[in-house]
Amino acid sequence: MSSSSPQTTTAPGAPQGPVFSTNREPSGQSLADVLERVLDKGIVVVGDIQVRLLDIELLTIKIRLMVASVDKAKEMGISWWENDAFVTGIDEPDEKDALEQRVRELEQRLGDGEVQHGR
Amino acid sequence: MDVEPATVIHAYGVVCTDAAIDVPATGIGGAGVALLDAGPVSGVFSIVPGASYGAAAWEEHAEDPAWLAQVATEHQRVLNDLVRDIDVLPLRLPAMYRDEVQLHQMLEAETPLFLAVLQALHDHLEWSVHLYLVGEPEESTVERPASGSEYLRQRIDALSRRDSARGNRERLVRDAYASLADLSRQSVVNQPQDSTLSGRREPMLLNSAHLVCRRHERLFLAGVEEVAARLARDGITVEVSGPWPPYNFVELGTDRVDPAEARP
Repeated sequence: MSSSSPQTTTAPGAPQGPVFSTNREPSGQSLADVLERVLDKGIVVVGDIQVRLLDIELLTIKIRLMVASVDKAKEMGISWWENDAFVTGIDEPDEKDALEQRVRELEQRLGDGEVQHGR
Repeated sequence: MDVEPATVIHAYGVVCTDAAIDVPATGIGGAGVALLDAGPVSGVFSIVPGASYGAAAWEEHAEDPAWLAQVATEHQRVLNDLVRDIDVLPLRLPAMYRDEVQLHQMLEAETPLFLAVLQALHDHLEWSVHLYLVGEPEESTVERPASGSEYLRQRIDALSRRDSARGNRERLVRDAYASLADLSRQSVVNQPQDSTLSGRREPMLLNSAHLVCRRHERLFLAGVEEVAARLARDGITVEVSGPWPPYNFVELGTDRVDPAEARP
């Protein structure tokens, strides 16, 4: 080990306890938290929505990329999350590439007018 | 393209049928909120203008954060009001149906799935935890190197300090998550949120969701306090929000239903 031990300081004014945001007052909810949940989580009843003029799969993938972009995390200097399934929640390192590829394919199909709306 | 119907149904979530349920007065766009009884389960829904919330509107605004934010917030507010008193299965947006008949058909067809998930999640709510890095370990001022070897030694020391700070931080985050997971029935780690969406500059080190029994809420929050106290000296802050409907845990209980059987 080096002779000089690393100095650690707490940010000035850093709260000692957690910051609570209870949903008993809805204004305390973060919009990012709401979007992440409402658009990317929750139960999906696949195939039973007959009013289906938009491709929900495409929308979901796009929103997922918008809500949680690994690239942005990298820009913020925390690239060590990148290949860590425990932390990122991504099992396959290639998952994002695959999603992006899927978005491109779906966009292509949309552009070609091949997507069949409604079943 | 079909002509947009004058009104469409926006569904919020699914509950166990109970005459005593009090739905919030208003939902999406100020529309009234009602329950649709489909036997063992009921749907929570609003009748909304097709022009504003129909398929074309969704298509048009699918990537418009301001529009999505408004709809998502109003949707969540309805579920939030309900979840204080009863179990609710949140539906992912867009959850749109042509009319009440169609919503009723969906509820009937999916009753086994909804009942299994409602049973699995009974009396459980979701709590959200974020860890942010607000302070960096301070770099100690170093002496001007007297020689090449001195410079190299300083450089190696600096790198080793950085690596150990990073390794230490990773360990702290893992430990914090493990502590909270111990107090939860189930936990999940999501990707850190985009800073443009969260509006936060500090790096998010952890974005996790925890399924906690209503009776153990205080125990869980006490655990959060403990974790926060532990992490404060390392420049990491803890933010907790909730209770949320169990958005991250709706897969629970679904293995009891054969998907092939649920399909028409």
